[in-house]
Amino acid sequence: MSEHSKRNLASLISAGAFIPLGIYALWETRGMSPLGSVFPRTIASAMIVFSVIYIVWRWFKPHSDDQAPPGSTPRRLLLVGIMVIWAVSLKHVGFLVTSVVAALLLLLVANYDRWTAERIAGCVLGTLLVVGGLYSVFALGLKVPLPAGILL
Amino acid sequence: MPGVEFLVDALTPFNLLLALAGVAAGTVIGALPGLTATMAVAVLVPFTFGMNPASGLIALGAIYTGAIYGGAYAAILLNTPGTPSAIATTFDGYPMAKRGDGDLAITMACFASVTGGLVGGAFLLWLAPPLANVALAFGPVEYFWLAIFGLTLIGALSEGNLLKGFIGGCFGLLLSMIGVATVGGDVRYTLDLKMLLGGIDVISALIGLYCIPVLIDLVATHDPHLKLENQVAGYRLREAWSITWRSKANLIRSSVIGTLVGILPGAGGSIASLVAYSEARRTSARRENFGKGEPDGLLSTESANNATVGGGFIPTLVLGIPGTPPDAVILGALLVQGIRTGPALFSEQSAIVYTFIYGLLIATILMLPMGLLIGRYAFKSIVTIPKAVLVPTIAFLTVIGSYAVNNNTNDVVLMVMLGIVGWVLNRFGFSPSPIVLGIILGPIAEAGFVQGYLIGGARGNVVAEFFTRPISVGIVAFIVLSLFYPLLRQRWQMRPQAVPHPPVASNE
Repeated sequence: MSEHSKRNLASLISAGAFIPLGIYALWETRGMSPLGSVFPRTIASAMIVFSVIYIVWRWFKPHSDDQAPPGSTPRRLLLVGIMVIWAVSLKHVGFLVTSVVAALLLLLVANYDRWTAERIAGCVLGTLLVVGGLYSVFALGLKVPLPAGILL
Repeated sequence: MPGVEFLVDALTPFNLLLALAGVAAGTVIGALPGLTATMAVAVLVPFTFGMNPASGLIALGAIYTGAIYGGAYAAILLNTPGTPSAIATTFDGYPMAKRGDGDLAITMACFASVTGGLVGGAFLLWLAPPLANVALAFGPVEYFWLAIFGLTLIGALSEGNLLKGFIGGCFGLLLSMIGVATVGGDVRYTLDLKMLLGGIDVISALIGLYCIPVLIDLVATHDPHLKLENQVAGYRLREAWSITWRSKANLIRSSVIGTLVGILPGAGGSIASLVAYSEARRTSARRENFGKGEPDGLLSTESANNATVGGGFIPTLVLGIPGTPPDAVILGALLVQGIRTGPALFSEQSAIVYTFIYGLLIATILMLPMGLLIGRYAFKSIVTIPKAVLVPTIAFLTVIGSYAVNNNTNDVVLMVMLGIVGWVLNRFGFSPSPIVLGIILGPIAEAGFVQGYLIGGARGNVVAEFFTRPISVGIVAFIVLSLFYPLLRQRWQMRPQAVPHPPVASNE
């Protein structure tokens, strides 16, 4: 299978994923009141119809809309992992501690230059200053009740 | 000029200081993703309780107008609307920044915001009482059609990929239905998860769908976040002014649209900027450039969202119905000050009202130097901060911004999840903008449709309810025009040009 065909297939599958989603949305409307179900039914049906039209159209006239993103996939995955763990642990561990740890980890992931003592000190200090400063603005200045968790 | 004798009261050093400080504070707060104009006004409203009513109102108006403008910074530089009003600013602002015109975009946004603010303020000054009646003429059906008008933008934002745009729009509309339905109270699509009962917060969704994909791609390469065109070190004032002046008709039209939409309670800056963007695109000779960094797109959205400030004050002051969410907070502050809003306010408490309106206009003018200064600093910070520091900073802002909306960690989780989904969908050609349009306009469209359906049913003719009310007919005409105008224009252009008559030979 050529690269173009593979991409077209990926595009078809991505559009096809909305069909089961639409069917689920339609299925769920069974338990809703007539007023509460009219809009979801209309939209879910429209989504299914558009997806089917797209698949049929692209089946006969192949074209790929997906873009192979350049760059490092491991770094992307690391960022996603850090963000997910950060978001989930905020409430339990505490906003400040999770944020400082996550920010320092993200600093490592985002850095492409050679680490020197000066660079390490500069980046760590810069990150801590930014995080600390913004934390102070929100927690102390704007009185946003940030979760303290078990640590802080 | 009505109430001109109160202009002097607005020009006292204390009021000028309040206007300047309010604009600065509002701009900074609005620039932080997740901190909306409503939050900026709500947080700072207690500081105004000790002031005289007019000064307090000037401070709040200045914060409000500054916050709406500040939202443009994050939209242009980070592809994340600082406030929901700046959603449409990302469409052309971020592409401009990506190609090296971030500084130009910031300066143009400032010009447009000041123009929009002044037009909105002028309407408030001269036409407040008659225009307040427009708000009363808008029923659920009109809101439904207005939301549909906003949704027609999907076509504009998905050129070359219309079907995927529609699929994305439907996905966004379904996301907007998660939680408890506003009409009927059905619990929908919550997967039995408590965290979904409250639905998906618009601001968290905006931050996730726009900002997380930027972060994911930012760490993947060594390239700088934004280009710096020829190391330009200035405001690019002359260039920005030249483009803005050339686009003056667009600017005025968008400002008027912003004012009129601002008058409608609950519509707000996001819808105003979307409608203005749609109109700017429809009437532009360079419509194919919209969404790719077209300055006219940026000018239309920024003028429209700032015009909603003055527009929103019209029903707030004349009818006691807040035009936009920050107006609701300001209305509360007015009640604390012992001011009763209503049609008689302009005659019975004219000193307070006119001093405030002139103060708002002065604050808008002060936004020009203040906005340019803060904007320049924001731009320089974004382009000079090393990527290793920029990534954690943006990530921290996304987390704290989505948390601060409702002080709820669930919003942070949803924001990250939506961001990941947004990145994956974007990779397969599904742009985030139609999804966001669906999330924002879905609740307005649904509430309008269901209420209109009920009213029509009670009157015995649902179709007439939707298609015969004068304002509805007007909006439907605009919808049809915006959908079919490109086709009509194409047909006109394809017509064979009339052969010019050969010049008549002169005997002289």
